[in-house]
Amino acid sequence: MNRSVLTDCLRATRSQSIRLRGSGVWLPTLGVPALAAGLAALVLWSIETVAGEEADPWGEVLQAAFGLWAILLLPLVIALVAAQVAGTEHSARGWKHLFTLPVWKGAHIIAAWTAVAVLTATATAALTAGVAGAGAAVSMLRPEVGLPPVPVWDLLRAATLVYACSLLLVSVHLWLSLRWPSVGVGLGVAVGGVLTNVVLLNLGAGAVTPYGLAPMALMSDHTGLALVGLAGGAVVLAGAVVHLSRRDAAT
Amino acid sequence: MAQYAVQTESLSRRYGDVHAVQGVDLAVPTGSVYGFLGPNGSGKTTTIRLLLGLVRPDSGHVRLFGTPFTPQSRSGLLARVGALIEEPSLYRGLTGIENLEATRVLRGLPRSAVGRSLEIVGLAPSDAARRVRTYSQGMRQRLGLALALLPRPDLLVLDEPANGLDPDGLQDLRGVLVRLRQEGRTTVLVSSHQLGEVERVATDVGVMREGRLVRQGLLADLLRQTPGPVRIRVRDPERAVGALARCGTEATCRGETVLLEPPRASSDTSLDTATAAAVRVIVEAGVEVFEVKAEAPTLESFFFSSAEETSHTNTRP
Repeated sequence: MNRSVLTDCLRATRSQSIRLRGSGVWLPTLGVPALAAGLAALVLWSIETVAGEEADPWGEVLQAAFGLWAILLLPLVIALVAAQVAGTEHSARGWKHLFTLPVWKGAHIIAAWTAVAVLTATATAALTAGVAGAGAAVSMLRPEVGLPPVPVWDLLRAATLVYACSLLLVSVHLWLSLRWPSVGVGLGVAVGGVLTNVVLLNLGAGAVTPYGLAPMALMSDHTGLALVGLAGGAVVLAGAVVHLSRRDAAT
Repeated sequence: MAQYAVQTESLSRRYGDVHAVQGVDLAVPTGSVYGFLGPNGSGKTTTIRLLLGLVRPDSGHVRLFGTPFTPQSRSGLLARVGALIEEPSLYRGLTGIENLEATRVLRGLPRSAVGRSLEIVGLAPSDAARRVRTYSQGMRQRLGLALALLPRPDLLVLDEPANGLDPDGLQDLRGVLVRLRQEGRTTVLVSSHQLGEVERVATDVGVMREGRLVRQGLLADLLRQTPGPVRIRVRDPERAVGALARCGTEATCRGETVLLEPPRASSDTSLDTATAAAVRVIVEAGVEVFEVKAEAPTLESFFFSSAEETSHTNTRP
């Protein structure tokens, strides 16, 4: 990569982190995974006792928490975070300022993408930590349940798989949010995508839309879908950079 | 050093059927304070956006510091430019200092640039440490100016910087522009509706109308070519104005005098002929005339005298 482009991207990312201070972007990033982790805690707490070698309490928990996360909560978190990151510029009429600076225009888009990707990673990590913490707490407070130790590797594997798949959604929603200032556009697309995906999953259609990647990867443990998420995310990001850099900066 | 900090050649841009900017040949001399004038919708902001690469021209070229503005030269040229376009782009949840930091980091400037810029615009450290959402309009405008001055620009582009400023704010802005003019290292292109303010600081002006640059040149030269109003001291000003009105001559009462506006630039009548005719009408109406005095032309009289011009007039060689 050209050195000045790399420097521009690093500067833009640093500046983006300053601009996001006080933007409230942490609320969906940590609040929504806390909901899913709370659900995991409820499932774990409701277990009377783990009986027999066939019992797989952690399997149920991972299915419940990560399933809910991958199908419903993750797209909503990404849509909300992308809207907030883009909204920081829209509400400050920041584009006309940023695009008059001696920085490659695409660097601002890449910096915004990096911010959303890092916040999505943080949300996924918060969910993982929350589920593990809930398991550790139940083991400590109710030893009579006989809960097996936290399956750290299974948790990390599920989290990594879901996160890699989510990068395509990160690119799609950031593009939408940067293009249209209204939060409603990104959220509307996310809700529509989630509902369509639920119907398609029930019909056994598989990962037809970007919203189906993470749930399908989780259900089938298919690492190839993670690669689709990574590659698709990169391609869509490249499209967003080309499109948004060439647009007139009206505000 | 290039003769012109900004030069455009047949710059044009359309929005649908509307010609926002048509064949503009702007020439902003290096080291000048260039007042960019024109009514709302005349194409000033679009021209400024074209100069900075925010919108792309349909045709024509832009040169900054003698170098064509291209995707390849863009970063190098913009490193020498500071801009404040309409309302400043500020992050209201951040403090003034954080706003400056966000831009300083992007420009790769040293930390000292923030303090220096705040000092130039006179924003106190205690105010700069407050969140922008608590700022008055004047303070926001001042912070916007500090953002534009952050890189010690060779070219400062200000689009309506006086919007929303109270008299104190206007005075401060004028002070900054005068200081920059005296230092002589920064060329300033400032668009404004405040003709009196522009006249106090500008060395050069350009007038836009309906997307075209109709007049451009050294302010002193343009004013020399512009007739000022004529003040006629009379016994009964109201009767004199009434008599003039009946003859179709525009005049107003100002205390004991009658103020006669100069003929439009498009008119065939010279100022001398119009004055002689007016005096004749007043005397024939039985009003005594004590004194006839031509006033010095102002930027306002120049602006209105160019109101009907549609062709480009450039006083530069």
